[in-house]
Amino acid sequence: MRTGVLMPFLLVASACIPPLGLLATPTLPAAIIIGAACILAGYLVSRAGRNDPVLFLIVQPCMALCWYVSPILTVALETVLVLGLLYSLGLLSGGENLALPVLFLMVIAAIAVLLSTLPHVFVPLSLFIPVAALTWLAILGLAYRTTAHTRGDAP
Amino acid sequence: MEATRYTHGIFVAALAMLLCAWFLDSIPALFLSVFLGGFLAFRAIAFLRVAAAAGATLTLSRVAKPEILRQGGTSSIGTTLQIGVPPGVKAVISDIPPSGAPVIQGQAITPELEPGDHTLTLRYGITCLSSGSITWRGADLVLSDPFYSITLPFRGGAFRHPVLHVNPMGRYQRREGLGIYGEKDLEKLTVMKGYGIRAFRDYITGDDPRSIDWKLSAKHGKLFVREYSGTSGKYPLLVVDLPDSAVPCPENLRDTVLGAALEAARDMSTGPQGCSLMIISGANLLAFLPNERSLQKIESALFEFHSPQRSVQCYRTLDPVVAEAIRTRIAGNAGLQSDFGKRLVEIYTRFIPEMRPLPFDIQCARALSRRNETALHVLTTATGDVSHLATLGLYARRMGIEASLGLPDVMASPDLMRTLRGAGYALVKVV
Repeated sequence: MRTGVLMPFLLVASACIPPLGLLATPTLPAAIIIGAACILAGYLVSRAGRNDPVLFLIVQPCMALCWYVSPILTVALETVLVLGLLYSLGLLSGGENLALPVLFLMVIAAIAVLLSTLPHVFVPLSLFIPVAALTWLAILGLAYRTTAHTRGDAP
Repeated sequence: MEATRYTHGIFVAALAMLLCAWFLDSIPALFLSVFLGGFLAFRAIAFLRVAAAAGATLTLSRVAKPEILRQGGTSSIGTTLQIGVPPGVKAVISDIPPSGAPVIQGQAITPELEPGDHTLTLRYGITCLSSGSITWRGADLVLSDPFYSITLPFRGGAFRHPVLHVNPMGRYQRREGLGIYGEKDLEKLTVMKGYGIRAFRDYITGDDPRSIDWKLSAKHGKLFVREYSGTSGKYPLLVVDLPDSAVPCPENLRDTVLGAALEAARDMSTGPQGCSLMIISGANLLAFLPNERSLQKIESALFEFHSPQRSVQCYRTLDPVVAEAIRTRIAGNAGLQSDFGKRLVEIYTRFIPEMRPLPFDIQCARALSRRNETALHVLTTATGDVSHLATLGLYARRMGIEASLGLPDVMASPDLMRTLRGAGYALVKVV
């Protein structure tokens, strides 16, 4: 499949799956409306030009609906979306480039499993905020190290 | 590291999901928030790893022609870059020219490099507005993917070569006369041929064929030769007085004097006597190059002592001869014999026999007593104490040598010009 049509295809597929999974539920009309809106927004974005990260973002409300079908299905769809996005952007060309996405998706899958067992957001949210802050601090440190330790005795 | 618009969009979406999760107590919204935030973090870590790997592959070699040039001159630069750009990443490399050397021709920046191995050469020209030994500031590698961009600064020694030696530009005011020495045409034959023609005469066997005037010979049907006028000139000792590095001195003053000295030395070094150069800083003799023909040696000497420290200061040093003259004058004139005059005569009488000339006085006397030394030309910044200039002027006057002096335009105050004229300099010009 050409990289240019991969993300629009994944967007349509992801927008269609929640209404199919929610056929016998009261949320079906909402799922259809949200799915149609995502497809329309994706169509408008694709007409303006190739913009895969935006398509990836547009499809996220459908993923929220998909959670009510099955958290595992949501994780699976997000996995396909992430790999599709990275592939279409050319960020998934080598075998060594696969290690980090696989690790990331495994962590996300574990979080999804944990979250699916919880009835309320308070405890995971209170954990998420400090963990996110620490992660970004670590990334800033890594960025500084990369900048400062480039070859040629950079300052 | 900077985030792109996509990253900002995903971050805002993650934040919105987080707020939804909080207010609506929605687990799916929290999951999406965690997922989007985690995606940004994962991409940041992956991008930094790739950036570090790409930075390690960058090599740079730079060639500058010429490497020695005059201030304001242009140097052509060829910078060869090698880099391996990882998949999904784009790179732009900027060669950062030295400070005070803007790019005037071509571009010192690569186009956007796609993934793959690249070897490319940047060709551009810079004009050196500042003087001295100047080096490149390095190179910047800008890497970007759809989510992040980062600038890696390469400032190490390997990225700063080569060193450009920029000689300061100065204007040397020539002495009156035909050339740098103030030569004059004479209506008599001398060993040194002048520029003018004093007469024509018949050709005699043995005459230099180059002196045959072919037009006149064709007109009259026989050979005529030009008889050149003679020339008389002075071979000045060029003295460059550099300011004390311990005392603040504007860089442009130093460069003006050095530039003028270099221009004078360039002309003199090709002359029959070469260039006699004396580099001083106050009453400190730094270098003495008699009849030097190698411009390279002259330039190295001038740059070696570019910023000297004056170990000897001769502020208000009294010359024994001058002191004796003052003593004799006061002792012989009853009108000057006040209390102060008497005390001064007494002090001078006791101390003058013990006064010894400074090493600089002896050096001046030796330098000016050389054969053929018929003029003295001093180039100075005229900052701080000028006693040493008075000493030089005094010795020149004693030896009957014509002394002239050049100083930067901004320093040429009427008072200073008057002082220097009084110190024995017949001609005070600004450079």
